[in-house]
Amino acid sequence: MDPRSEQQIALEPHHADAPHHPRQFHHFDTMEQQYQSSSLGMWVFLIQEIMFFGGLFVAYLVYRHKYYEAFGIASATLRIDLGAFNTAVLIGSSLTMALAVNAAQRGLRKRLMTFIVLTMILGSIFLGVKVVEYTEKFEKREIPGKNFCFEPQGAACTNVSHAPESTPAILQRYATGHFFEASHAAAPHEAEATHGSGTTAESTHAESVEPQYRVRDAIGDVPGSSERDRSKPGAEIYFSLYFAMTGMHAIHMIVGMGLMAWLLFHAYRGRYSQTYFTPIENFGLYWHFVDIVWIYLFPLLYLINRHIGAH
Amino acid sequence: MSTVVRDVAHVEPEVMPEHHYLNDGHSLKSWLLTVDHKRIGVLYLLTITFFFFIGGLMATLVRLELLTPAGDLLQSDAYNKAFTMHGVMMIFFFLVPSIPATLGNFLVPLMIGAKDVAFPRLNLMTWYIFTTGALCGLAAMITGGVDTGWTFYTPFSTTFSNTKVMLTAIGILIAGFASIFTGLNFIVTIHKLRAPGLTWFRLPLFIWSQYATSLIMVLGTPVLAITLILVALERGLHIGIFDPALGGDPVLFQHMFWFYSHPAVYIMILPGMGVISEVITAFSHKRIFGYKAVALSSLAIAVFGFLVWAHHMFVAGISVYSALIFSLISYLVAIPSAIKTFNWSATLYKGSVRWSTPMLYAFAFLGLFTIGGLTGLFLAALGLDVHVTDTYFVVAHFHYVMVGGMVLAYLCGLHYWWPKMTGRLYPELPGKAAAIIIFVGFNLTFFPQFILGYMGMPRRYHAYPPEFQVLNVLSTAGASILAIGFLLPMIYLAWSLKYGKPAGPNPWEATGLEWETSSPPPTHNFVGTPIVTTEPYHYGPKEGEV
Amino acid sequence: MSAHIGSLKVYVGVFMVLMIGTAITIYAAFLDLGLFNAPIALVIATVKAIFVVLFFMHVKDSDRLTKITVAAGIFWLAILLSLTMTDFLSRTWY
Repeated sequence: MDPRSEQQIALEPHHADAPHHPRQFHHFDTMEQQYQSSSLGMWVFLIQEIMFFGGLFVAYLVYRHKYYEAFGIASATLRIDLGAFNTAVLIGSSLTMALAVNAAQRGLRKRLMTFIVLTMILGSIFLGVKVVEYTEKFEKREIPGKNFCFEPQGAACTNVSHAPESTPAILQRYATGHFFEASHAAAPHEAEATHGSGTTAESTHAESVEPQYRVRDAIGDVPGSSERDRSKPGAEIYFSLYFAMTGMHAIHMIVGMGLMAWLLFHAYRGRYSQTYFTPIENFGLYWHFVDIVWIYLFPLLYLINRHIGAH
Repeated sequence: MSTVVRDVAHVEPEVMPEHHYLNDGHSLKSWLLTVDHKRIGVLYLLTITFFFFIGGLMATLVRLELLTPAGDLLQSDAYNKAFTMHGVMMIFFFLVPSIPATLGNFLVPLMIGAKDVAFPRLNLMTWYIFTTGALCGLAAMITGGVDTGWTFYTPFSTTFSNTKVMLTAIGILIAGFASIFTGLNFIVTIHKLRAPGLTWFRLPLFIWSQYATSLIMVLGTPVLAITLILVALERGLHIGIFDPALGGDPVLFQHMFWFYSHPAVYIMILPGMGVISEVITAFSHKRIFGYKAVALSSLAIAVFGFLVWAHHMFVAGISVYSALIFSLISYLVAIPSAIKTFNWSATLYKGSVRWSTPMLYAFAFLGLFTIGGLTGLFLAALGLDVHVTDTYFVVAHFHYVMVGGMVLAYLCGLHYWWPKMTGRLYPELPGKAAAIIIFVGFNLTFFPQFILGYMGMPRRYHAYPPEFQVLNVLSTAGASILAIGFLLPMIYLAWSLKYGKPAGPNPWEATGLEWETSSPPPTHNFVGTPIVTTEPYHYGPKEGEV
Repeated sequence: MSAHIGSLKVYVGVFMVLMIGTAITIYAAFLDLGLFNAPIALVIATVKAIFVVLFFMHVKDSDRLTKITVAAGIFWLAILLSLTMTDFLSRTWY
């Protein structure tokens, strides 16, 4: 028997011709279905963001365990006052965002716009403080890479055997495509020297450019090394993670600022009402997520080993 | 018991519907700016077929080189590039999107009685994102290639390799976001857009497996994204996350990489399993044995698949205690796959089996996936893995599951739903011939590789000791037969677009909402909203049977 | 629409909780609690995150699917962190 005759598939007429909300898409049957779908979509996006940042957190966890002391020493050089201020600013922006969503739910257009603007202001303050912090790192040459120099006691940088690259030189290196080539591959003899130094305790090759400090086994210590020496590889890894994590966070905030500008524009144009405020609510979820990431970044990056008084 | 074999040709001739999604707008703009999930599925089909060819070209180079023991066709650098690009193209730009982006995009809304996916514009955007990423990969290949292996192990990829690692990593990163958003779209669609009466346990098993695949895509791919970003930062800015000379740990890279790449292999088999569930029921004209077990096994594979990644790292220097945990869980993850295989076999029992082309592919899948899956268990055993890791045994294992499993399932689904997608029947005799050629070619290519691996031939080497030559020649001979087998469907499927018989709404007399609408379907899928009141696979006895 | 409209008092209250939590975290960071410094900081951070999730993100009043989605995200992050650490933490055992 043909399965078709068994199947009691009734067909209801599509709802497309029925009168519907101006913001309802045609592939949804009701506004409620659209709202629930958008909301679920945003949450699924957020859990993939959790996994995205999670990769950075696992790297942090592994290296914190491997370079416990160095992380403490390096973290102590961060400005805890700026970090705490930024935390307060971001939590404040979460409050203003929650109030913005509340205003949208109640159809209060002016109040919605006010709170979006306030959130943007607080977000900009956060980013401004980050610029201050990054500039300080740049001046102290604590940016990982060719010119990395970490001297928490303020001693002179002895670990770079050549003058730091000027900004035009860096730009030229990028522009001529060398950015896409491995720096070691260009000089195989250097690569061998560097590779070899990993297995011996001494790195006395005069011609090797990097690394200038000795490579350490995570578990053992090289006898006779000083605390300053011991902290070198861990310190560079710490700063790599610092910039990767706060940088990725900052990028998410910048995207958020752009989205808020867009939402502000549409709020001004009267797009949102008591029956349609989904984009505001979904953006609120995104912004709160960005806040939660910082809630974890602050203690993990700024507050470790403060009690030891590493200075 | 007499079995009535229905010959489709004896049914009254069908006609093509007047208005359907393919002729709803003919301009390039109507295709490039479409939000119709069916058209997006077709766009993906064309794109991934192109990249399948590129990957196949690279495989041809590899197999030609391996005809002789000496490294005479390609230098070792060039050979490294060939197998790397083969892996990158096939995995990231063909297999991961294959069934989800083509058949999934086309069928998910149809099977659940919806007008489209939850986010149609996002759906179109994923095609553009995917194509951009894949073109980056192609550009990397054309401008010099990558030689790190598709696994990009550090510090070679971040510090020492002098090839287009950056561009390839960026291409994969971009394409990964297409994967994430496709999975997001499917999850929301399946949760929120089901037709009235279509409860979870009335869903076709293809939907269950698409849902499980989407979970993996959403939860695993972001970790690959951040890993590739860190590789790019290390390579470009020399910041040393993974480079031991700068204090980094290459094993951390492997953990982060395989955290995605192991679940990725389940992305590359679960949709195929969904297809097999549909085809075996349709061509045995019988409901699936153990529906709930198969449905929940899909979810189990998705969850357990995230707990086993370090079985790729047994000899990388991880702690033996950690290795024990991962080995044990790897054995557990085989159980849901075995449950499915038993249930498919039980479905065939006392069914009214028709040997159409899709069923030939499904049968091949059953045998080849079993071999691939069982050899995976060999590899999950710590002691044996130490012996065969990085040998051709591993290569044979994963080709059995990925090609013998997923690619055959993809072809199976393509043939099964071809009438629905195009409104035309493909020619049955060339279809069967191609399926048999593929089966023979595949086994001839890859079975010798199990033996080679066990005998100790390492993978990723362009030269090998002369005693391995006979098996390598057999393998290359098989590869040429396999290539012919893959080319045939390209030809006759294209032929059928113009000359194939109109199929009618339900040429296979199968159950499922997609067969309730015309072939090809109208743009909005159904004339009205379907209301579902029956169980899935509610096949009754056929005419003339008890 | 089925959104729950929160009360302004609750929002301001949660904000105060978060600020107090931040202050406690900073204060505790300067106390020598030995092994417990890191766990305490993380516990406080988690409590703050829970408040943001439940109240600012309205999960407390959301449907079951939303709650399961959030739980799934946290669970998968936990898999990534814990299983990776089984390797690194047990490297020195015999």
